[in-house]
Amino acid sequence: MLERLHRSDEALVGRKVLVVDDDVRNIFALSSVLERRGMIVLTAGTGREAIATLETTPDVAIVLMDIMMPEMDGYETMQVISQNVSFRRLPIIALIAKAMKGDREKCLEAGASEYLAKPVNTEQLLSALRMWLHR
Amino acid sequence: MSANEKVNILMVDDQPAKLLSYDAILAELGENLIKAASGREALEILLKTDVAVVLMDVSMPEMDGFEMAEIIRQHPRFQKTAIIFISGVHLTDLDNWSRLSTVLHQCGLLMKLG
Repeated sequence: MLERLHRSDEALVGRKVLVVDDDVRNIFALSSVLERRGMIVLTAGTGREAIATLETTPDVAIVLMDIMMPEMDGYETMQVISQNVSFRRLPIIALIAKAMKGDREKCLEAGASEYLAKPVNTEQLLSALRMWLHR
Repeated sequence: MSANEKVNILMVDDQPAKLLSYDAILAELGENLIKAASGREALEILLKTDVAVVLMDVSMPEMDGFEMAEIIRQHPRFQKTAIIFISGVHLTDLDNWSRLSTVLHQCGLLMKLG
């Protein structure tokens, strides 16, 4: 059992994840879960900060992006990121609270690889990360 | 870490006057004192800075010291960070007692007089 758990985290250990959320409590909660699994967590409180971090850190493996943020929201941020050819293969998991019909399509159109509802279910999040990082 | 390297002490209080007085009291330690005016600001600092001790007020608007301590403690990086509460909170209040006891076994408590 333990061995299986360990093996399933192989895809996560040592990988760099950028967590983008304007609420520092969410950032704290998410980075608790991710660091426990051996991931290296970078954080950004705004879309602009996220883009700047990606530009200066070439080895980010995956991005967790909150959608509802003031000023520059997650959709806009993802659009800017996906316009840059060097991030073409960078998976982005969009996190959205109070999901409405059509949000999923909107996320995927803006450049998200996947879409998860907030509050985030830990197991769901980890399996999405494993899937996107395994490729 | 070398012996003469300064450590960071994070002081959290929503009242600027209190922060100033902690600053005056702790200055003689010669360590690096960092001020935060809210729990939110404190968490942002913690994400980017190595902190040895968190000194915090219990009753603050929006996010109080109990909530903050819980959030800090659940993070693997801060499981051993010292947290000291500074409290003028009414400990006769049962609700406060039970919340306090859930976090107190890992934290220190300093009573704020007056």
